[in-house]
Amino acid sequence: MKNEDKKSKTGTLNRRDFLKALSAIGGAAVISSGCTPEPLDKLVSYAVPPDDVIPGIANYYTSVIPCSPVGTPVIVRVREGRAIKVEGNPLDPVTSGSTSAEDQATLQTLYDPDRVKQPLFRNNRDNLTAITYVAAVDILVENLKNKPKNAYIITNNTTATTDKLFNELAEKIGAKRIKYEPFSYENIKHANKLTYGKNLLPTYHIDKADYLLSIGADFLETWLSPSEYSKRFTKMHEFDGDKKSFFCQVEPKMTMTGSMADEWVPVKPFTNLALVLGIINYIKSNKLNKKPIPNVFEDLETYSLSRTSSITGINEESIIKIAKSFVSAPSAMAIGGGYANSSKDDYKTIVAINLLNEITGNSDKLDFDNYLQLSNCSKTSEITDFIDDASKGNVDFVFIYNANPVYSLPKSFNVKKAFEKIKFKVSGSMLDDETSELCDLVIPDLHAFEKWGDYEGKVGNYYIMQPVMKPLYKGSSIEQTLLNSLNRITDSEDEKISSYYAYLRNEWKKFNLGDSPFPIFWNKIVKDGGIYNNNQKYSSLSFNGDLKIKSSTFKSNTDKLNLYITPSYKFYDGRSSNNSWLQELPDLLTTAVWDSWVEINSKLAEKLDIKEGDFLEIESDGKTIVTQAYLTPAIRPDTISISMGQGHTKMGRYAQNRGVNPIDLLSTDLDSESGGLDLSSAQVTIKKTGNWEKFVKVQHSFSQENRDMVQVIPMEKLLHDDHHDDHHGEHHKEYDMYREYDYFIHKWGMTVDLDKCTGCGSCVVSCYAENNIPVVGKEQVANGRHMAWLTLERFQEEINDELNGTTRIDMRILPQMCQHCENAPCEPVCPVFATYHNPEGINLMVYSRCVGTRYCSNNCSYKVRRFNWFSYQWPEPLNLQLNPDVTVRAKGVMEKCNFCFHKIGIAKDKAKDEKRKMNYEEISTITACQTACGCGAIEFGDLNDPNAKVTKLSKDKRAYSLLGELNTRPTVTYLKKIRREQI
Amino acid sequence: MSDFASLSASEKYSHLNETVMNMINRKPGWGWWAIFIVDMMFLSFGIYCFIYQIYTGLGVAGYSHPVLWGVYITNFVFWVGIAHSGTLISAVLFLFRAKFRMSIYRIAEAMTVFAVATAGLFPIIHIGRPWNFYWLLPYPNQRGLWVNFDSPLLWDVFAVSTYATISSVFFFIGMIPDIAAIRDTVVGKAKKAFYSVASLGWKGSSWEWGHYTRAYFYFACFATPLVISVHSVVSWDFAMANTPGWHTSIFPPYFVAGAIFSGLAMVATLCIPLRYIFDLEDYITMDNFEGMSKMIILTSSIVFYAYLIEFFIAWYSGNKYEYDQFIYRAVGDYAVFYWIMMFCNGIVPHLLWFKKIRQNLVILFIITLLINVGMYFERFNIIVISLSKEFEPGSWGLYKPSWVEIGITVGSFAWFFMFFLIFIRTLPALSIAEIKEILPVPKKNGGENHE
Repeated sequence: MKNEDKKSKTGTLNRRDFLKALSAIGGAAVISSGCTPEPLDKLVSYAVPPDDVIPGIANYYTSVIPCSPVGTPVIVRVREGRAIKVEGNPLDPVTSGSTSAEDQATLQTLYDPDRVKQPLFRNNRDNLTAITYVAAVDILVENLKNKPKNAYIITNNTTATTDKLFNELAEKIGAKRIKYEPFSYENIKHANKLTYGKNLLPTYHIDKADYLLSIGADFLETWLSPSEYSKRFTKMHEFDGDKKSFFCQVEPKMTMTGSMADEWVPVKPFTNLALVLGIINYIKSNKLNKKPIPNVFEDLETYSLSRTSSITGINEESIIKIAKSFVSAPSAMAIGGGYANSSKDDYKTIVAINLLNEITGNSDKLDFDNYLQLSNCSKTSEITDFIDDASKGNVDFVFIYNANPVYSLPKSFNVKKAFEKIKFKVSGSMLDDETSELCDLVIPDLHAFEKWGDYEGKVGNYYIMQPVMKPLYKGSSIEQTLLNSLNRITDSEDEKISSYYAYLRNEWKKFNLGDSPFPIFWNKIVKDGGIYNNNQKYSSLSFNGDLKIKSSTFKSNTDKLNLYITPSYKFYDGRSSNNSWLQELPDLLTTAVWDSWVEINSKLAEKLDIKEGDFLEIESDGKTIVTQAYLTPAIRPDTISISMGQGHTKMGRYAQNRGVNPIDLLSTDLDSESGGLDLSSAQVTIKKTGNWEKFVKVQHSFSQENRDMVQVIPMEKLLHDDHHDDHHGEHHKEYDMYREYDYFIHKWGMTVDLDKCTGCGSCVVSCYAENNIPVVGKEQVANGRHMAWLTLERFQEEINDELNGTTRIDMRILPQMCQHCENAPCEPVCPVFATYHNPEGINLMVYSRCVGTRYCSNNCSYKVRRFNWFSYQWPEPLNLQLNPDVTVRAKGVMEKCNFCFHKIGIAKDKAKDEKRKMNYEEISTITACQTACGCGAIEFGDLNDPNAKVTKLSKDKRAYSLLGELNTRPTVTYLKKIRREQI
Repeated sequence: MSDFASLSASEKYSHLNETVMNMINRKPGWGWWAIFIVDMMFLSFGIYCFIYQIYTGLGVAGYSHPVLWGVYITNFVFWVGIAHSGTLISAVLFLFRAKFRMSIYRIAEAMTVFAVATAGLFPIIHIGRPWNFYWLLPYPNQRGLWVNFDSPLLWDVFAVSTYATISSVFFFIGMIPDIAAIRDTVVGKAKKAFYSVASLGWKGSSWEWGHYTRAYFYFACFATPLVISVHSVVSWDFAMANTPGWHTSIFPPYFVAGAIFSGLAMVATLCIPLRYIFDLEDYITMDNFEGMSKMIILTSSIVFYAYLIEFFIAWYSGNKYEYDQFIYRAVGDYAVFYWIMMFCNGIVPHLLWFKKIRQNLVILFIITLLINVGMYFERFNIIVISLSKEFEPGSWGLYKPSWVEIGITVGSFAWFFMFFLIFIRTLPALSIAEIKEILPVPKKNGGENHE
C-alpha cells in the first residue's frame, strides 16, 4: 500500500520502471531485426510482428544444398533471421538425414566474406567495377538480344527447374549447353552403356553385399553419393550380432575409404583392368563362375596369374584370395572408382567389373532405375571442344554458372587464353573465382538458403530449395535473372510470369497427383523438403554378351613415378576451398591443414633422402609444381599422390595462393571413347628444392605407444567368447573411498562406436558450427593452438605385408571429445570453480568465471581442453553465423566440449512446457556430433534410463573407457573396433 | 684482514659502523648508475612485454598444446626457491646458533623478500585473465562466489602470501637497531626523517633490547616451519596432479632441498661480488663461504639422490606412463636441458669437497652460477617435459619459449636486482648489531678484552 502511494505520488520514472522500459525497447529491437540478418540503425517496432519469429527460439526450415554429386536436403536452424546450423533431412531416402563436412560448412559459403556482393561489369576492358542489378540485367539482355553467334552456356550439374530455365535460354539464343562437372564419371557411364545399354550412373546396393571389392572407389569421400554410401556401408559393415561383411579396397594410396577396409591391397596405379581380368580369368580357369562367362575380352586368357601379378604389382596369392573370397561370398559386389579408373581406355575396367559382377551372379545389386542426375552431365571432351572453339576466336558469348574450368582443367589446355578471346563473358557465380575473374559481367547468384529453387539429385527425388533468410546482399537468384532476361528477349504476347517463385510453383503443379488443392500440396512439400522417391524396387539387367573388347596395353615400368591425384573429401574438386572450417578441418590421413602436400612412400623417401616438410619440385613434361613432402608407408613406392582442391589463384582470402593444384601437371590427353580426362597422363620426377619448413599438422605422433587408445577385438572372440567375459565382469566390483554422485533425473552419457566411424569429419565441422569455435589459421595450428572441441585422432600400426612386399598400416580413428569423467581430474584443481560436475553428469565449463590458470588442461588425461590464446575474430559477415545460444569466448579462458549443454536446456524446457518427458527423437538430436554423423557411430542419451540405446551400448561387450586404468570414469564409452582377418 | 685484526676492539666496532655507513653515504658512482640504468632498461622491456601480452592475449607466449605451463611457472618456482634460503639462514640458523650466518643473513633476507616479490608476479603474469587475479582470494562478495579449497593453486596463494608477509616482517624487525644506528649518523634532512621513521624510535635501551631479542626469537620460531611449508606447497602444485613426472610423493622434500640448494647458491652469487666491491673482506669471511659450501654439498646430494630415485621408482612402480616419461626426459627432445640439470646440480657441486676449490672465490662464484642455471632447468624440466608427453599420445607436442616470455623473464631478474641495488645503497647490508656479537667487546677504558 505504502509503496504504491509513494509511487503514484511521485509520478516520476523510478529505477524499476526504467529497467522495464529498457527491456521493452530491447525486445522491440530484437523483434524488429527478426527477419533481416543486418543490424538496423533505427529501433522501430513492428506494427504487426511476424508470426513465426519469437526472439530466442529457433525456427527450422527445409531446404537443399545443391552440391555435387547428388545434393543434400537439409533442415536449417534459423535464429532471428540468420541461418546458424545445418542438419540433414531424415525424410530423404538418399542421404537419410546425414550430412558431410562440406554440407555442414555450407554456412560459411553463405556468409563468405569474399562473396561478390553486387553485379560487376568490365567497362572498357578495365577492372571489374560494381554496377546495379538493373544495369547488369540491361547489359545482359542487350547482349542476348544481339543473337550472339556461337554462344555457349556452361553450368555445373544444374537440375530440375533451374536446368529447364538454362535450356530455355540456350534454345532462345541458339547457344550450346554444357553441364561441366570435373567428376562426371564418363568411364562408368560409357561402360554401362556398353554392357547394359544404359549411359547412366546407377545406385549400387552395397549394403546387400557380404563381400565388397572396391577398385579404387572412394565411396566414403566423393564417389557418386558419399553420404548415401556411408549409410549403406555402415549397414553392410556393422556387426549385427553374428555377421559382419568384409570390405576389400584396392588402390595405390590409402584413402579415407581405404582406411576402413578389412583388407587393403596396394595396386599399381591404372592397372586395375589387368587385376579384374586376372580375377575373372582365375575364376574362369577354375570354373568358379555361377553364370556363363560371355567372351567379352578377347585376350582374357593372357591374364594369367603371373602376368597379372607383374602388371599390377600384387602378389599372386593376394589375387587368388580376392578371387576366391569374391566367389565364395553369398553375395558379393565389385565397384570401380572414377579417378582411380581414368586412364586412357579405362572404361574397360568398369566393363570388366560389370562382367565380374555378372558372372558371379551379383549384378542384381546394380540399380539403374534410381540413377543419378549427374549422369546427364557433359563429357569432359565437350568442354575441351568448347575451349578449342574459343581459342580459335569463334565464340562470341559464354554464360558461365558455378563452373570453374580455368581452375579445374589442366593448364595445358590454356583455358585462360581461350577465354580471353571470347567477346562477351558472363558469370553467375557467387565467388570471384579464376573463371569469373576473366568475365566481362558478373551477376552473382544467391546462396541456396536465400532463394527459391529446386534440385533433383537422384532421379525422382525433387528437393525444394526454400529461402530460410533474407538475402545478405541486394540481388537476385540466377533463376530470377534468367527469367527476367528471358521475359525481355521474348516477343510473344502471352502473359509472362515475372517472379521465379510463381514460375517454380507453376512448374511443380505437375507433381500434384493427388486430390488436394495445390496450395496445400505445396505447403506439405515445402515442409517436407521435397518429393521423395522411396521406390526400392528396380528392374533386373541383361548383360550385353555380344560385346567385344580388346584389353589395353599397360605402361611399362619407367624410372618416373606415377602421379595419383585424389579428389578431396573436404573441397571436392576445389569449389569449397574458400571455407575456413574446411581449411582448418585436419585431413584425416595426414592431419594437415590449410595447405597441399605430396604423399611419398617412407622407404622411397629414405632412399631419396627426403624428410617430412621438404619442398619437392614435381615435374611432368615441363610442367612443375612445388609442394611439401609427407611421408607415409601407406602408398606404393612407385607412386606419389597429391590431393585436389588447393592451389587457387583467385577465389577468396581462404583459398587463394594456398597449396598447389595437381591437375596442372596433366596433359591434354582425353579418353577418346568415353570422353573423360586422362588422369594417368602425368609421369613425374621429383627433386628436392633444398627448402624445408615444418609440415603443419595437428597430430605429431601417430603411434599409440602401446597405450591401447583405440582397442580392437577379433571378430572370433566376439562370436564365441561371450560367456567368459560376462563371468569376468562380476568379480570386478569397484570400491571407492568417495561417495558416488547422485544423478537424480538424468545422467548424460555418450558412446562412440569405433567400428563404425569412418573419420569423415562431419561431426567436427558440425561442432564448429554449433559451438562458435574459432578458426585460428595455419600459423596458430603450427603452434599447437587448434581449437576443435572434437578431434579425430588417428593412430596407426605399421604392418608388414609380406605377400606384396609392402608395408600397410592399420588405421585407427579416435573421435575424441571431453570424456565428462565422474572422477574428473580437471575439476578439483581449478581454484575458482570454473569447471565443475553438474547434477546431470556433465563436466561444465563456466567461461565467465575462468581466470585462465590452465591447470585443468594440464591435469586432463585426454587433453581435450582448448585455451583462448587470442580474441578470435569472425570477419564480417561470418559473425552472423554465430549461435546466440553459445557464448563467444573471450581471450584468456579455457573451453571444451560440454555435450551441447544449451541444447539439452532447450529440449528440457520444451518437454517441460508440454508436461512430458523428453523422447528419443529429441535426445538423439541434442549433440551436434551425433546429428551430423552419417554412420551412426555416436550415440548420446540418458544413462539413467535402462532402456536407452546409449545405456545398452555402454554395457556392450565391446565397451571400454579410454585410459580406464586411470580411474577417471568417463561417461563417454567407446566400442572397440572389430578386426577381421578371415572372411 | 691483517689491518683489521690489528685494530683494537673499540676500533673494530667503529670500523664496522663506518663500513656500513660508507655503503649508504658514499655517493653512487658511475658504476652503480651504469648497472642501475641497464637494469631499468631490461625491466622496462619486461614491462613492455607484459603489457603487450595482456593487450594481445597469451598467445604471444610460446605455449603450445599440450604444454600450457611454461617459463612463467618455471620462473615462479625458481624465485620461490631462491626466496627460501633467506629465512633458512636467518631463522633456522639463528635457532641453531650457527655463527657463520651473522654477516650474510641480512643479504640473504633481503634476497628472500625481493625474490618473493618477484615470484609473486608470475602467477599473475601466467594466467589468462590477469585482471581477474583477485578471484583467487577468498573474500566475501556480492556475487556469492567462493574459491575452491581443494585446488593446490589456492594453497599456493596462502603459502606464498604468508611467506611474503613473515619474511618481510622478519627482515624489517632485524634491521631496526641498525637503522637506528644509521639515523644517528646520517646527514641530510630527508634521510634523517626516513631513518627516524624506519627505526621506530629505537633508543637502544636495555629494556628495548630485552624485548627485541625475545621478539626476534619468536619470529624465528614462527618463520622456521615456513621454510618447509612454502616449497612443499609449491611442490603440491605438481605432486597433486595426475601428470606422469609430477605425481610423486618425493616432491615436497625434494623441492625443499632444491630450494635451499638454489637459495644458498644465490646468496653466494650475490655476496662474492659485494664483498669485493665494498671491501667487506673483514666481515664476510672465508668461514662464511666454507659454511655455505658445506651446506651446498649436503643439499646437492639430497637433490641428486632425488633425481636418481625418481628413475628407480619410475621403473620399480611398473607405471608405464611414468616409465615412458623418464626415458623421455633422458633421451627425448629436451634431453639437453635434462643433462645440463644433472651436470650442474649433481656433479659440479661435488667439486666443493676440495678445500682448495672452496677457498677459491672465483671458482666458487662460477660453481654457484652453474647451480643457479641447473636449478632453473630443473624446474623447466619438471614442468615442460612432463607436460609435453602425457597419457594421450595423440596430443603430444613441444613447447618453445617466445621472445615475450624471455623478455618477461629477463625483466623479472631486472626487477629483482633493482630492489637489490636500491637496498645496498639505502639499508644496512650487514647486520651491525649481530656482527658486534662476534667481535670482541671493547672495555670502557679502551682496554683489550681478555675474556
